[in-house]
Amino acid sequence: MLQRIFYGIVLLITIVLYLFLNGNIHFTKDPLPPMGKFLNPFGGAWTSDTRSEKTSQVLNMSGLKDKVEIIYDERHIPHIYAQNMEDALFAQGYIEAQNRLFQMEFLAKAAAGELSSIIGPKTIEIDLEKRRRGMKFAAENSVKGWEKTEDYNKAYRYVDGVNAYIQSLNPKDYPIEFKLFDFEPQDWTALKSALVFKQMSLTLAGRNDDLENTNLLYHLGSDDFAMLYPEKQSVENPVIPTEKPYTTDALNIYRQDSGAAYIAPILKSHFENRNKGIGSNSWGVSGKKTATGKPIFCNDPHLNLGLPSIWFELHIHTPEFNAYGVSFPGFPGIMIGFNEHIAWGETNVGQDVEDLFHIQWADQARSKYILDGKEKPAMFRVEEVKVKGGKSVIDTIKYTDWGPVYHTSDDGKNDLAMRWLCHDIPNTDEYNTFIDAMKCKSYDDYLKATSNYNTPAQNFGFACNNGDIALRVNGKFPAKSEPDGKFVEYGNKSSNNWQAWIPRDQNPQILNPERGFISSANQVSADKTYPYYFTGKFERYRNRSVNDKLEKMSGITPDDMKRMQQDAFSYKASDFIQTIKTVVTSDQVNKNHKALYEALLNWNYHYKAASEMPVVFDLVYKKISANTWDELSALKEKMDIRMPEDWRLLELIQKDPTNKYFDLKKTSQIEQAKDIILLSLNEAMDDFTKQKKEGKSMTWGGYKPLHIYHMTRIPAFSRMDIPADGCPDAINATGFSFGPSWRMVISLEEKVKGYAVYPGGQSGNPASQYYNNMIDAWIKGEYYDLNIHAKADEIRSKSHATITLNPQS
Amino acid sequence: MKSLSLIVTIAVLTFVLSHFLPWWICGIVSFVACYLWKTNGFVGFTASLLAVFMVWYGKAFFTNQNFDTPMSSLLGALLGNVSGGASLFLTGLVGGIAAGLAGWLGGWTRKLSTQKQ
Repeated sequence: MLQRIFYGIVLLITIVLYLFLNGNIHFTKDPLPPMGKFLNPFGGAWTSDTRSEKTSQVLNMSGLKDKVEIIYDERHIPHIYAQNMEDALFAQGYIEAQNRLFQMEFLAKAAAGELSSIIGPKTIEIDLEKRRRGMKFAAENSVKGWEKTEDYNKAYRYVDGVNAYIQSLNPKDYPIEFKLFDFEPQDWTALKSALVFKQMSLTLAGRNDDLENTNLLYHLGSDDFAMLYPEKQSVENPVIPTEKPYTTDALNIYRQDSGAAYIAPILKSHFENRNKGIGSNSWGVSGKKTATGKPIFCNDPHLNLGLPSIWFELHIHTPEFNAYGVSFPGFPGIMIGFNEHIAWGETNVGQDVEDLFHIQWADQARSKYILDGKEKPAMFRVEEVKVKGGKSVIDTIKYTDWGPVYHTSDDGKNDLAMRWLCHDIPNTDEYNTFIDAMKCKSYDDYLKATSNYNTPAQNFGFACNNGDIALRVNGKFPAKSEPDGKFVEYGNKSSNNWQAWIPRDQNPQILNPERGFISSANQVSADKTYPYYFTGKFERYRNRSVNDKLEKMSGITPDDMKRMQQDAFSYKASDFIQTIKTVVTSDQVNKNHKALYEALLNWNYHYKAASEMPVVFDLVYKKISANTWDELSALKEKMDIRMPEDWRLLELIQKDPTNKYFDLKKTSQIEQAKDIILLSLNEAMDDFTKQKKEGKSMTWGGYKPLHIYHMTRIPAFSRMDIPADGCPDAINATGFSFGPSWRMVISLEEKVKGYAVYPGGQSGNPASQYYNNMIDAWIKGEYYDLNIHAKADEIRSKSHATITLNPQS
Repeated sequence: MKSLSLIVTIAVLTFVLSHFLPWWICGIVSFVACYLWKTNGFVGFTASLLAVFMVWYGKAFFTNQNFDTPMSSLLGALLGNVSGGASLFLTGLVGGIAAGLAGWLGGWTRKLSTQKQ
């Protein structure tokens, strides 16, 4: 009997062990990988090998019109030779899936708020935010819009290509991450493409300060708010220089009601404001300023650096066009690139297209809300967040005329709905923007190709080998009057909603500017004479560096442009230190810091990885900021607010040194700017010396290294602690885990030349030699020649793999 | 000799069937073989563990060359910064322990069913 009981126990243990090793049961809150399945050498991690990357294949595919040849070059860049656009896009889908399938699936799941289904409870909050923000709703609307257009079929060829690859896969060949998280790739859909694009929209256009501004206005009052948070900097350097006055047509457009701000403290939001440091540079110089007499175009988008990279490099050749550049895996076309005639690229426009509206509920159950004096039923969308190893979380999101109720309060008195441009059904086929761009031969072509683009709004930069350079603030913008969209507004009047759009031809834009260059670095789009109200997040330093250099340069070569993209000079550091110098002499700081302070004053303001001065300045700036804004830091503990911008702090030091905010609340005397600066200098240099004595690396590269994380943040698949030059306000804009995600220089000579690099690799397989092989070149500031002119035979002679796709007869 | 034939049988069947069937086939093979071989607990456990350990370790060892960066070192880093050798050993051990328990139960089930008769 005893033996049978013992047998039963062993049997039970064995069954439980097998279920655990197979991933059917979990013992930890965050589920562990199914170790039996995962380590199985016949189908687990050990079979997600890299041989297929070097295997040539000939495949028959239904859905193709003609033969397509894909030849990988030495860097694993696919060169797609197709006979028509549809087949080229099919091949793009196939190839991106072959290299980046997990990334694509993960991005689509992240956007849809479905990460918890593969990761477990720790991503529930992230998923809930996506649901409350209506990401899937936005993507569904995009698909509805595309399906109304004539040309959407093209984009669907891309979807077919992805699916052709997925269907060809044997489960043992799935990328290792599918095995680690124990799920299977599902069919790709247009909705998934829309989702990954919305994920990009969220990064670039999914932010607002409405809540923070409302809290600040309530707490500080309008005078202090206006003083601390002015919108216009005294020195503006807009994306589009004003060469002729703007028309006043704008004044005739009916705007929403102004002055409808809802002023009450809303305290803490559920969700963090994000995306600090995201931005981009793009510039183009006309032939007047180059050595060849032909334009040069440059673009380096500063996005999250990840493994695999956010970009996928590819070359597409058809009888109709020959284009090269980078795509965003999951989305067809080339987003930043060039062909034999033109080069194109984008930087983000910081205009606020996401506003919060206060909902006045008509009932306790919050099922009806008041709009224009009438009760309106809210639509309910039940969201089930499936959780691996746990119970699903159900959240019912209420949708109003404004959009989803994003922020909810316990008592329903501070519920806020989100009006986000990215939710709207697009009327036009913006899906095709980056497909059509590949075919353009002139600025007129490019204007046509991009005029349907809505959101996230971008500064679309352009240069052509006929000599044209151009820049257009491109996208759909609500026509607003100040201060619309700056604060939370009352949501009980539909007249508070956006009423009209800025006509596309009145978006700031310029063709062949007199100054001989175009440039954008996320600064304000137009100067103060632009008749529409622009509010949002705009950069204040990088653009000055870019414009200063371009103004002075002549006889420019691609090498000059490459060097410029590496430039680590910081105007912020320069401006602050020049001012500090006038306030505090080296005799005034503590004696033991005199030498260090003098070294700081003699610094050239370049954020070089091997230099210690950037760390000293970083510490000094943070201390000045913390000591000045001590009252705001205390407020921030209680409610969501934002700190004044650094340029405003500098202006106050320079122009209003006795401002009350310089007074330190914890002391009995009244401090002024100079007291704060002296105190901060001593504190910062104490800190620096102490940390250095403790043996910490105090060089910029050691103190604030870069981290290029795998999308799931698994350290084994990431590359961390990279010492790199640059800082967020330098042209070489790096910081923590973001930076120039693709540095591109295109010389539009008769025979166009391209150079580029990105910090990653083409393959998504962490065991591939092409997984992170370009990171070192990127750190060193090296570029690869982009081989747009090579004929198939030339590439083939050096290729490690060719894929031939034949139409199935 | 009997144990050796048992080990060889489990190893060969596991190797062949694992190409088509899920990972847990190693357990079924071990269970059935030990049932048929009428092993006692210790022999069933040890023979199955050894057989499947060898197959899993060996297969992983040879598969390792199919990667540009050895999967063993990547898995070592993934499984808590252990060496590539340790990740190979762990691979063998996971299969081995699972099979060992199944083998133990196989022989034991036979014994209990015989007792019943």
